[in-house]
Amino acid sequence: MQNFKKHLLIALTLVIIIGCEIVVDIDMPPYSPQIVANCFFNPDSIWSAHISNSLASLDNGNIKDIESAVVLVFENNIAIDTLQHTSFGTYRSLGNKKPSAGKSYSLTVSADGYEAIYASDIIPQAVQITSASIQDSAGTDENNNIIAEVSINFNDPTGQENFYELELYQNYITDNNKIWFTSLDPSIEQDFNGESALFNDVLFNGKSYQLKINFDSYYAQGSSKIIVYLKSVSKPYYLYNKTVILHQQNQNNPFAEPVQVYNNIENGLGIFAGFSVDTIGL
Amino acid sequence: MIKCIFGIFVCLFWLLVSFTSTAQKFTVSGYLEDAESGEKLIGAHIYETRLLKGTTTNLYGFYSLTFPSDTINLTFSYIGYQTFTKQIILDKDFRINISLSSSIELEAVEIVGERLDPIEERSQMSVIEIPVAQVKLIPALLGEVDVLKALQLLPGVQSGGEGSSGLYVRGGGPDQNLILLDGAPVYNVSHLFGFFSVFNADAIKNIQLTKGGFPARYGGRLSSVLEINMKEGNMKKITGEGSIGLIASRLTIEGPIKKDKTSFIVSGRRTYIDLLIRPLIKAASQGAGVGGYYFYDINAKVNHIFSDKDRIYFSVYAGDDRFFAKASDSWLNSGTTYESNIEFNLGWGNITSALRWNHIINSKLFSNVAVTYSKYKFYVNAINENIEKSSSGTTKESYNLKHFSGVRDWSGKIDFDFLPSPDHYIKFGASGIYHTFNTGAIQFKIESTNFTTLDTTLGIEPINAGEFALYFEDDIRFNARLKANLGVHLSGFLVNEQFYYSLQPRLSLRYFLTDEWAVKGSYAIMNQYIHLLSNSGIDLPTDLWVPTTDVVKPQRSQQVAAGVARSIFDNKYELSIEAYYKTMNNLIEYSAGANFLDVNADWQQKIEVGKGWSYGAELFIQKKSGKTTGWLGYTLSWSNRQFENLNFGKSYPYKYDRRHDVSIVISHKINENIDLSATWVYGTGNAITLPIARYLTNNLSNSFYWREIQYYGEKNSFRMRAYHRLDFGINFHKKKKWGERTWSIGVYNMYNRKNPYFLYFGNDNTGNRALKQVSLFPFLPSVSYGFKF
Repeated sequence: MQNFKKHLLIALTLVIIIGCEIVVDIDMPPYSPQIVANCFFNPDSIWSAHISNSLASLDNGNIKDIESAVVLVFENNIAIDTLQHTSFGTYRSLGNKKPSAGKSYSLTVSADGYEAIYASDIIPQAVQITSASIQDSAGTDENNNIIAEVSINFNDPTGQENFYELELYQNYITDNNKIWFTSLDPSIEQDFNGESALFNDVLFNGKSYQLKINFDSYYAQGSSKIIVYLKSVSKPYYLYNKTVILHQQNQNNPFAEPVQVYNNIENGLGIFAGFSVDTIGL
Repeated sequence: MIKCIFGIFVCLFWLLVSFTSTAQKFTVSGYLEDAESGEKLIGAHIYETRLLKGTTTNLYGFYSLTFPSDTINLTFSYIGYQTFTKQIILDKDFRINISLSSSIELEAVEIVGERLDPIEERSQMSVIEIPVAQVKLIPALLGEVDVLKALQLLPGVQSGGEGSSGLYVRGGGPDQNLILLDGAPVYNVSHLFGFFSVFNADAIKNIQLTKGGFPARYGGRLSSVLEINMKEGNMKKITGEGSIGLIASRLTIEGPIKKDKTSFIVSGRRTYIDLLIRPLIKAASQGAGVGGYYFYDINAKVNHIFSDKDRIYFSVYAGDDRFFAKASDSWLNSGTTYESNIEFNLGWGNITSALRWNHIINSKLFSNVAVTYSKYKFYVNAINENIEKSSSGTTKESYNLKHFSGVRDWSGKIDFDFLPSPDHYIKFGASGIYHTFNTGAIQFKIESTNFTTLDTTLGIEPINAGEFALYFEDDIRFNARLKANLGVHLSGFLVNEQFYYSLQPRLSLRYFLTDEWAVKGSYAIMNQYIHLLSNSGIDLPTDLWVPTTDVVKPQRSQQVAAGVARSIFDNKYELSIEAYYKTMNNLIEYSAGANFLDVNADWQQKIEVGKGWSYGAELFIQKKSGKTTGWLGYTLSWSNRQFENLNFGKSYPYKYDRRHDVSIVISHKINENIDLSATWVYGTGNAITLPIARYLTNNLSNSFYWREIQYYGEKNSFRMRAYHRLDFGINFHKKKKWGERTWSIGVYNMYNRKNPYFLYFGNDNTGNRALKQVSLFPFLPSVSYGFKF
């Protein structure tokens, strides 16, 4: 009898817990898989794009690379290259062509069974770092570690909206290793992910600006060099990267409003965005 | 504009003067009260039987009637009380205070405490009163009687999600309700993330909700005004009541301090889950840790009658929710003692208080002066302390992180009721509020014996703002068929040297088509100078109250409503059908993905501004007296939003857009000892955003890291399953030598409907991708023991 009661209690508890979660049917609109293009381009790299497909959210299949697509690149509306499939959905310029800053580019991708896609963007001119300095010991962080500080100066171009991304590397012999950093600069949002900071020129449009970032002074010691990357990025690049981060942060919170990732591919999904870089070693 | 406003007030003043100069009329005035407790009766009906003209008592139980010199027959009536009739030879002004006794023959079986002024008589529309006695009969989650959950059962009022105590009135947001406890605004009405609300029904006398057709005396919020008045306290003898429930217990004591002069009421409620689990946590952590959660409410009120003309009331409410955890540890290593203490507190709470003074200036003019204080605070406090003790000395380091936000109001107001004749009920007054908004700050402090103290506060400075309002309204009886409430409300707001003002005309009309059927119409403009920033679908205390600023404009709404009303079946039932259309401008929402902890960015940079509109129809049939009471409510409604930077600028359904909403509430008294009650609710599922596709993408920071991205369709284009639920309750009363005891047994979600709380994508039993729904409350029985003495 005691056992029976115990089992009954366990069963009841289980019913209540399991009973709280059920699979529900919701009418999803019909969705045909689309071409997904991922292509970031800059004057220092050969043209390269990744082409795959999308699936309906309840589709049990695996997302696949599309290996037989026709991928065309246009410069100022003139076709300049057909990218060729190399491996795992990656298409490259076999003629080792690179884009140039200040020009506009577009991409078309067609593949059997999918609607052809189109996207376009520009490469902004790289904003030059006019000067930079490093201070090996600039206080301590919350764990009482000594922090180093890098200050960089640049002139924001007048009369236009500019978008930037800042990254920091430690150059050790031949490798560049990414350094995580923090910043109290008002342009940089406090919840940025620490590996790259996206910001715009709303607070300093057309002015020369100094930006300070902090990182563990361990990286500044010894013979290794600190390299600052200041990327001048296009608006689609900025919007895409910002929304991707927010999308990830809110994805598993059922109470948060979902964040739609920025998409600039017509008839498809993904991103086609340009940027250019200026670097300085310290 | 200023000239125009000035002109209106001059006209209104002359109107006033012209009334006062009327000759050869006399006035009967006074208070109506319960004979047994001395509690003033709100909304009681006083009627002259020959002239067929009457009035109702105001919020303080005061009435005034002016007639030409004659013999008059007045009846004083209130549901559940014996009607009292008095003949007066009206040759001078009379002050008559009346005590009404409970109807003896009906005493045990009726719900008392409701006005007798029939629905079709009133010029106002979209106003609902629920007797507190009825609220107490409605079966409640875990037996905790809940005023706001009862209001959610009314047509035009939606509940948000499962367990939420938020009110969504006619498509508006939860911040658009002016919730007044004895005239003081209450900013956060939820305990435990909305599962319970802050009002303790034992201390409440009167609940009135206005959803539209707002009279000019109300302002400052777009969607509703909920007036809750606390009991004053028994003037005759000490009485008490209380209950012991599954999650909380409560106790109320009231009585005279000086009989018929001064009385008090004190009421308290506290949950005790923490007291029960504290020993368990302590045992599990071998005494090193304690933690828990509790909430409490305290209501207290005193009132004193100075003279027949003067009375003061002082009421206080305080309530808090608190999570806490503490742990300490110490160990010895190589002769050094290490000690570590961690403490975490998270809490939120309101304090409100109101000091009010009623003064009868003359038999036709009643005044009330009030000073109120209201504060809402949310805080997180984390402390981490490390101590090292060795022969070489003691070192100590402590880290302290505090986050706090909130709002504080000081307000003063003066209101006048002027009753020049039975055909006019004039109210006018002025108010001023001094707001202080703390929109979120983080304080980080490190103290150490090894290095210098660091004390940083991030976040923007508190914002101070002033709000004022002036109003004038007249409830005019033009003739037996036409009655109207006309008024104007002028409000202003001063913040950061920016001044906003708004002139809001208010109108509601009643016209008798036949002797029974009244048609009603109303129009109101409302302005709201405060906003609530919320980034989740549940009532979290982190929702941030922010003011209108030079960047963020005041919210503004316009509402038109039309309807019919009548009493049916021997005046036992009230029927009303209303349709409304409402527009709302300058609504704010967080930008996609923004949240409250990002204090470095000013909240003004993280918001989107947009508009909303809603329309619908409501059917309400209510039975307020007799053995069986309750109501049927049905709402058919649409509510939409449009923001330039959300959903690509396209309009989308509001999250709580609810096409159909049904509620049935029935209470039945079988005999003196047993009563039953049941409620059934049905609502169209909440609108949600779901991904329609998924794809892979990478970013340049780490090109080897591919992640799956959800591609969402249009915002809120999907619907959760419909919500429905049946609750049931039964009360067994028994008279005891010391008073009365009641056993209450209830069941929440009788047929164990799995109502949606949230949805997510997962896998089903066969491993296929599936959309899963998580529900919160299954079949939940409850029991509580109540007592009255």
